[in-house]
Amino acid sequence: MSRLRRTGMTVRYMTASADTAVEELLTAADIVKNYGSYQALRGVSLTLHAGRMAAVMGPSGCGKSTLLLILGLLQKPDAGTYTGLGRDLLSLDAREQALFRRRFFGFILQSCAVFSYSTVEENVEFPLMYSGVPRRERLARVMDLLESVNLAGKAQARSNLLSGGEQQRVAIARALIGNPRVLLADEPTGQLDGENTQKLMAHFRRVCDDLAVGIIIVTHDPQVADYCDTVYQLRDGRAIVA
Amino acid sequence: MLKTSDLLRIVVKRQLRQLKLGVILSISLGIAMFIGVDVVGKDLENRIVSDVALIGNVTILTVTMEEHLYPNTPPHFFTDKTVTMFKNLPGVMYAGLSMRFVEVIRTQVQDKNVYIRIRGVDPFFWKVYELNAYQGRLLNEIDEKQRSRVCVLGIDLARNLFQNEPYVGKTLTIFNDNYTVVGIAGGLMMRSRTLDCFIPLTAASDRLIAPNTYPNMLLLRMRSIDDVEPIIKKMPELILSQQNTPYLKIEYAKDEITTVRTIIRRVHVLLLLGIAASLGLGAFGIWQSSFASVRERTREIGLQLAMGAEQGDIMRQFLGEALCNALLGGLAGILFGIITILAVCMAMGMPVAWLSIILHIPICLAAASLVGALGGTWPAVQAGRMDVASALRFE
Ligand SMILES: Nc1ncnc2c1ncn2[C@@H]1O[C@H](COP(=O)(O)OP(=O)(O)OP(=O)(O)O)[C@@H](O)[C@H]1O
Ligand SMILES: [Mg+2]
Repeated sequence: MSRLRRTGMTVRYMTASADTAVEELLTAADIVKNYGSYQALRGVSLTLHAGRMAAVMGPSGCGKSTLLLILGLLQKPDAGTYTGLGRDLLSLDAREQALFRRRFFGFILQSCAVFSYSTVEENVEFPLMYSGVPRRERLARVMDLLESVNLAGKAQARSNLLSGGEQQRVAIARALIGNPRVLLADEPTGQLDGENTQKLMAHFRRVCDDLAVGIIIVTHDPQVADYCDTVYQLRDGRAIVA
Repeated sequence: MLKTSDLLRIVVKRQLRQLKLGVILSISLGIAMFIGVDVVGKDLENRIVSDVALIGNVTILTVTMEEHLYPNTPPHFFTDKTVTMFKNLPGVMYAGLSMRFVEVIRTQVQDKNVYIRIRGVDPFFWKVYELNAYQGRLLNEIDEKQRSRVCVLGIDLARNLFQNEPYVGKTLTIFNDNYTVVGIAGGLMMRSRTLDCFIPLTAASDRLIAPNTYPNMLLLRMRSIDDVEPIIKKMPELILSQQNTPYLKIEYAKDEITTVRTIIRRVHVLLLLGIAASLGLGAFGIWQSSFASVRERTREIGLQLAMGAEQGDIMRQFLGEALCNALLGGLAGILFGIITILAVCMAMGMPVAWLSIILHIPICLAAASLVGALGGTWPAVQAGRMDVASALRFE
């Protein structure tokens, strides 16, 4: 983690910790999402603060991924309000949403961990390309981050040849490379065994504490929930704080 | 928006790591055909056509003085000046001289009558009909100048006259003069001439019976079919510009010209269809493989969009990949094409038109890009329009 601090993220850490009140990153209220006649979300409310980790739990098919996509501005809700970093996020157009995602969000998605036919380094470098960071700086930042997830030695390895745990670490590095304020993770420990899950969660915890990043983790693993500050149970289309 | 340099790096690396050989191959085939046909095609076609034309007699025309049909007209013949003028015309490949009539004499070989048709020819006669020496040599300028008593025989005549080979060196007596056989003529256009005896035109005018022994028949071999009809139109005018002439007869293969023209047109259409088909196949291949990779990478597209990629970025990426494959195919095609051209040129003994090859390279690359764009645009647009949420859910 000492490396991470040297890469400019410390600045944000300082400002965040200088605030006495904990900054509110995301606030969603009464989010409704229907798929045809099927009501996936019936009024979910949720708040995320800087440096906090929230878990979203619930049985399969209860709408966890749906909620995460809505929070990540990847899907539009049918009703509800959603503000992030002081902005009304639902009123942004597609381009502005893309820009917002690029600047403030990091994603770890359930379905896709790594890009095929790409090296570890290229995987992690990707988001910085979209932000227009010069290549030299990109590579330096990628190496720093890969060291922090213990993958520096595999920078040139083909990412699809890595183990599930390693791929998940690549995904984390990629989610963090843009210095996001919010990390949205959908079942990041889904493919991992108990030991690797604990390592990963410890890592998330450090990212949270050291960089003041707010994290939302979708999971159905109680072990994961133990690391979180808040646990939302999603049931019948509503979120209840456990 | 992704920087172009980054886009190029992503696209090229990925395509090199996951080579789409089928697509690249089919495009390269089309491009190779294109460059091959365009660079050596014209030469090759000219050769093929000139052979076809020769077989069909279509590039040869004969002009005969016809004064003998009109009483009290003195004999006429083509002058050197006229022949030189024809030789210098752009459409004329060869101009030769011969006689309107052949002398026929009869001799007896072992109780059998053998008729010898004697024809005076100048040294260019052979070139006009593309005849060659099957044995010995043909009549040349020295024979012509020295008015030598030498002859070249058609193979059938030689067999009738002499029991055994070699025919070259044997002697033939014509009107009490002894002629030495210097060669046997052969070639596709010998036809009924295999029964002829050829002697120098000069020797013929010296020794054969008048009035038929003047060079009163002009033989013209044109470079291409298209040169035949224009020169026929201008013929009287051309000859009159050099000499006085009363009556001319021009013979050429009118119907055969039409037939050969049709053959050439069909060959053209066939080649064009071939090129179009393989380029079309390439475009279809690009289209197919682009769609396949969009489908295969739907989740990756979703992830890229989640990272903040804009729709345009995704579109440019997939279009770039299509173009990259098409250009790889183009480069391979240029390589195959050049190899083919070299092989053909070597086999046919033609010079390699390097300048033409180099000029074709940008055209080929442009054609390949066009194919890539044709096949790749729609899949790329589809990829760009993809909805993130459904992309991520895609199974
Ligand atoms: N595009 C869609 N069209 C129709 N129904 C959908 C669509 N997306 C999701 N659903 C439905 O919405 C419900 C919630 O889906 P979601 O993926 O959010 O569940 P989840 O809680 O993430 O489940 P899991 O734990 O298995 O990942 C499911 O019943 C699913 O079938
Ligand atoms: Mg899910």
